[in-house]
Amino acid sequence: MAVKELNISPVGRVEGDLDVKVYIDEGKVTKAHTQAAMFRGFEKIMAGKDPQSGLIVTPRICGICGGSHLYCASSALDTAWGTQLSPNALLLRAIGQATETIQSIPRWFYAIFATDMANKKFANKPLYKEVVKRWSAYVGETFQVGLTASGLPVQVYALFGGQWPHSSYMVPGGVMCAPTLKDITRAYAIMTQFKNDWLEPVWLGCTIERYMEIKSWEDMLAWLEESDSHKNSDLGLYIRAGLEFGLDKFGKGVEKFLAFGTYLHKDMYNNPTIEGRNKALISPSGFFDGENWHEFDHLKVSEHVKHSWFGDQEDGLHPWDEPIPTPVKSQPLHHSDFDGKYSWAKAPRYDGYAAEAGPLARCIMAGNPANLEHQIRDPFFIDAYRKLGGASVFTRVLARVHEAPRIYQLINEWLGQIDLDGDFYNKPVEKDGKGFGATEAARGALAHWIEVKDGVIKNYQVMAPTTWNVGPNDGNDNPGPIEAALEGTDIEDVKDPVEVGMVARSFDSCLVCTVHAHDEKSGVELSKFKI
Amino acid sequence: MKTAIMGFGNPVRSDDAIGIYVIEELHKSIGSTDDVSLFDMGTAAFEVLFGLKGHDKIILVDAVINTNEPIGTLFKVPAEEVLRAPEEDPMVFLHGMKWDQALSYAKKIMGDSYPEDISVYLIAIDNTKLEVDLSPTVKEAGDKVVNHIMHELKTLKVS
Repeated sequence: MAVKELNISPVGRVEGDLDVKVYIDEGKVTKAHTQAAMFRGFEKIMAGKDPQSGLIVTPRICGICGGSHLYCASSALDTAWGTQLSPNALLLRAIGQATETIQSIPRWFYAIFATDMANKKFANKPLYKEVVKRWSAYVGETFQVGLTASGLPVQVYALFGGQWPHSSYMVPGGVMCAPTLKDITRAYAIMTQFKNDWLEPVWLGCTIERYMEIKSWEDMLAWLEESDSHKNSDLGLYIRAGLEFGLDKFGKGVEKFLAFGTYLHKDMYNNPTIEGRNKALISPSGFFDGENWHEFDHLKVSEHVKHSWFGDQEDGLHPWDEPIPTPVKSQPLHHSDFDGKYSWAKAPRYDGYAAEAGPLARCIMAGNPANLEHQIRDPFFIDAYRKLGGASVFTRVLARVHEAPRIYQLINEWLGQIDLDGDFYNKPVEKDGKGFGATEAARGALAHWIEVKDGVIKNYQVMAPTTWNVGPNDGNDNPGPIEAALEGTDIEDVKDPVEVGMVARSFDSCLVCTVHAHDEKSGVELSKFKI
Repeated sequence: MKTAIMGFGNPVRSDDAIGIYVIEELHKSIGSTDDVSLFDMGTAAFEVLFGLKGHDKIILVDAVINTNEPIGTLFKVPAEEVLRAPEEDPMVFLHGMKWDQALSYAKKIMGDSYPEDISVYLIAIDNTKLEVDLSPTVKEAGDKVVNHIMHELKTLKVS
């Protein structure tokens, strides 16, 4: 074999690129546009193919949320075919989703968000030194502990799913695995290590049970003061430094929230239907309009393309009615006309509104007083949200990390409910029809819509949480959530607008994001950086 | 002596599937054993960090583009040649990280337990369109890599 000198790097396989263009005038962002810079037409591959190709193709859409795509792909076929799901199947799917989400929490916090807090912008703050000591990229004291712990939960996923990411163990009618007692015992042991290595000693500084007693923002502040171990835990430091650095003062967004919900209850979704889904969810779905909660109805979801590089469709179509993505000619950022089409992301809307997806949306749904007995009922976040003045970089991050102790408890509970002698799979009967499958990926609401006709896929539509958050203006020129969250942000140093990065990162967009800051009057590019 | 073989790529991006194809073929012929772990890494570069643990020898298989060589050309390089410190691009993480950066990071945090013997097979490709078909030329190159790896493993056993 020829061995050659090589000066190249491997194929870049990011989920796509995002450019954020902000205009700054007198130290304030006056306008923001988000541009998804890559056509992603995975749906095109599936048209005309076997109905189950979504199970193989969609987990490959993302190297981080493969399990969430699989959850949606199998659920969409469950509803289209009218399958039967055993309690074991629902438990093992929930465990897969939950382990994927909980691994993302420390990985995202340390690797993506916390390093921003070590930016020199905050150097004059009293807690800055401590933040740098702990969270500096690669060298911080707890940076490595958190990242290493993040490798554990997906080992549990791999025990049942064969591998992580990109497995195909969830199938219409159940799951393709039959765990043994040894697997369950091993799963407990791995999760316990996650708790003992990071969650309790490093992150919380207390037991999970103690943390779960927190029901209001006052409770949280009291918890903080209760002991040095609370105060000096990474969560304690995040709360103190986050408020000291003023992260609660910017990044508001559209103040409307959407969750599709996830974790279907083992005894409540054995005959899957779209209509029966909301009530069977453990992590509840819903739409919050800033004041009130509304029951989620997938038929109220639509997509706009006035500002997106897609042709062949009008604004406001429900995914079942949308054509397979048809790209039109795009322009690079510098030549984009923001009055016209400017992004590869569509603009999804719920009941006509832009809505934020993600952990903050989930935590707000958990506070809905109408939630059922088996659903998550947690009044903490809606209280914190109201007392802290609504959404911000601070609340968005707090929501993300607030979920860890609860997900840990749920995984443990579900592991104990698996009936090793029970069924895991019921072979379904294939038929034509429409289906809807959804979940909460770590980053928020994810759904797949399918139409099967003449035994093959006629239509397949994937709507990712990042599309909800980074989508462009809609048909009425109303901004998407990140665009809205950036407007009005005060920028301390236009040469290093770290605030813009923090807002974008607080949404945890699944695209590699480049920020371009421009002077509003002259149009001159002031700075450009990757986040 | 425990060997880990990791294939990278996306099976729904045409010839980018080749790293995964190699792993699938190895699964068919040898499977994971006490001495050999096979990993379909897909597009998750960060996971490399966790796959290295407990192995003394690592073989990576991936596709490369823009080599100025015909598609199907094989390269074998020691990992050191392609290591790239993530600090060179500190703001690219998780979604943007590639295995070369992940290795460099692993070296930093694993210290003495970082495996010394890491080699990389790279296969030149061009077509990464959203499709599920592997071209015959690239597939043939993949088969060659499978043979090379089988040979390497045999040599290990003898020695």
